[in-house]
Amino acid sequence: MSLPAANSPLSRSWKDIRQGVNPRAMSREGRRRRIFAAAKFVTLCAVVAGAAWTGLEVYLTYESNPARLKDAGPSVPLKQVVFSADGVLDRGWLGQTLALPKGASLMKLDLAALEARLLASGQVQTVILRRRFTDNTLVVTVQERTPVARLMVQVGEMSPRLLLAARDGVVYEGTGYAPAALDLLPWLDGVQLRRTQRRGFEPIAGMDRIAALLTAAQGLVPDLCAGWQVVSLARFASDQEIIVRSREIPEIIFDARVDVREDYPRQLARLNHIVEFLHTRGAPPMQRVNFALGSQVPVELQDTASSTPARSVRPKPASQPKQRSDF
Amino acid sequence: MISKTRLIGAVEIGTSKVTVLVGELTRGRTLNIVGFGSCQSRGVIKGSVVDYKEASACTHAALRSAEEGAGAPVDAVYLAQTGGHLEGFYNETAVNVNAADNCVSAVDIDTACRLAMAKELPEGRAVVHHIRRPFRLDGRLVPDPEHLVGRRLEAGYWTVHGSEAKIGDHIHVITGFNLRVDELILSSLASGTMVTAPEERQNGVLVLDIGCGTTDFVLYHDGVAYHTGVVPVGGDHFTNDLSLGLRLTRGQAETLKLRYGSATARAKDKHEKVWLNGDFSIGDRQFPRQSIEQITSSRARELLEVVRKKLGPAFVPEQTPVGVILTGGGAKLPGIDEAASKVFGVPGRLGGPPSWVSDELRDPGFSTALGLLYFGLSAQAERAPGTRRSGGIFQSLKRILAPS
Repeated sequence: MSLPAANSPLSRSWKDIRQGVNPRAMSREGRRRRIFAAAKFVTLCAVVAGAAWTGLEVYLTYESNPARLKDAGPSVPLKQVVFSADGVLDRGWLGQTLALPKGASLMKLDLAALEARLLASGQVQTVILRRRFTDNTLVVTVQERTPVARLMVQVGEMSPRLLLAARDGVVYEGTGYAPAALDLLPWLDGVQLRRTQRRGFEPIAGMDRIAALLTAAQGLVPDLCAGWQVVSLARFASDQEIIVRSREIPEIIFDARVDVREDYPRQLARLNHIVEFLHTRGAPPMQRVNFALGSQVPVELQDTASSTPARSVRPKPASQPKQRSDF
Repeated sequence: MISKTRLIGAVEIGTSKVTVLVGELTRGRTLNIVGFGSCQSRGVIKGSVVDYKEASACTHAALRSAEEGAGAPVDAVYLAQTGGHLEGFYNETAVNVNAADNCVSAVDIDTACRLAMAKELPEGRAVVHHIRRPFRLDGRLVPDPEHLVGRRLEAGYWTVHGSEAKIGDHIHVITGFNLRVDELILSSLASGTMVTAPEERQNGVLVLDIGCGTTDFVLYHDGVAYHTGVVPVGGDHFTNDLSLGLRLTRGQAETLKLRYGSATARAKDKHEKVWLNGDFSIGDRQFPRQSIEQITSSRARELLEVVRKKLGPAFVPEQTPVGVILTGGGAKLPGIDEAASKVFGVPGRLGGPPSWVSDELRDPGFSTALGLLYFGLSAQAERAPGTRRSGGIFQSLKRILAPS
């Protein structure tokens, strides 16, 4: 090579001629186009600068106080609260529980805190809170627990108070129930409540089995069930038995083992059969009937003379009601 | 989103008319002609701008008309350049292949090309085109010598240059409309590309673009333009000679030229006369047809001989088997192909645009404007060997922010 390529000077090209022109030398159309192009350029620069500034602001805010990013801009105040529940809770209870300040902004509502406030009541099983921006409304949808039994509890020196137990074992203070409806619930007995750290009680084990038993009883033997006053879990933990005390029969023992839980209808049918059988035979009222012994169902009749329970006897014909019978 | 479609304006500021075509370039590949504007030229003599305001006014009017037809503003312009100030010269250089195994590298090619283009120009001159001829590697012609083995690499460029001031005047007419000139293309190259096929350019062909004030010519060999030039003589001179010879106004002479002018003397009857207007109006008179034909044919022969002389030894009839192809408004003169054939000693014919050109643009006067789009896009696609597109996202950003 005689000369390095980089050292070869290139001649002046037409591209080196300056393409700019004095505005005075431009035509009217040319000037109009120039102004339009300049406006376009300025607009683009402004958009780019605005985007950059916004990005910088967001970054700086994020660095200094990330919480501010979560704050929405000023929004219109909350207009109304729409409430729907599948139980007995009403808007009064909702207003008391939420305790929303007047003129609260829809965007500034802390839905998580409100949800926790609602769930603090054991009566509420699930809650859904939703902002509806079209009409500035807070929509609250509540699913309630259904009480299965009631219990009277006294904590320390405080006066006893009525609590309700739901199917899932949760114990809560019922709100909004009609007293007549509560009177239909049996009392729960034989349980030892444990306090939780949040001033409530731990769920009661075995309530689901009581609920299954009561549901089956209300469907199959409603007349008998209406007389059930106390349902006891005293022997549930040890023997997997549920004891029912009714007006007619002081003690009915049901087998509540998991594997025979599906057997409630059969046990209830047997009970109904025994009651009817003894009734038709004119036998004295039953003192105790036990379904927890498998196919053998000992029935103890009341001793009408001494008012003491009769001793167990071998099964005899049905005309001897004081004897225990196997059904 | 950056648009994939660009509107390119092809502008020819001629002596008789200004022509603007707007081509819609999609993704750099597909070209559709979507706008057309034309205006009678003012302020231009022999292809050079002599009155900036007049030239600007008619050019801007044509641009506006074309933009209205396209329905959108033009993004950039390919501008045709002609005029007697344009000249050309050939410069070649040779380099020894650098590698030990004598394999030609991109650096060798770049060095040879730069050296061949590095000739100094006189003050006030600017390069319009560097047209590279095929490389020679140890004496044999090769289109692309990279990775071939040889000892000596020769590169040569036909350099077209012109007066910086006159080129600047042309460019400023466009920038006065607030548009950029993306490509400046020699008129002869534009029209030559349009009226010849690649095979013809490979075999050897001479193209004459006879305009109103100038005649541009380009001689093709081996697929590239070997020689270009401009003669400041055009159809206007035919009119001028008729005006002087028959004592007519320029308008009357133009009318006679268009009706009865011929590049070859055809009239046998000395007494055959033709009417100036033919409408029996006052002042209408008769002229011998032979006189008209003699004047135009003499001028045509003279014009062709000037071109032949200017080509000099570069034109060899045996190396131009395709012959002479004539285009431009002046090519409409009857018998011009016959006259060219006689002067150059090769077959002569009129050049026509390709079949895809619409009927309204098939006139030979539009071949330059059409060729501008065609040549400009081809040139952008090819460029010099070894060059690469650069820029990427930064170039895109620059394009967005740059005022159109």
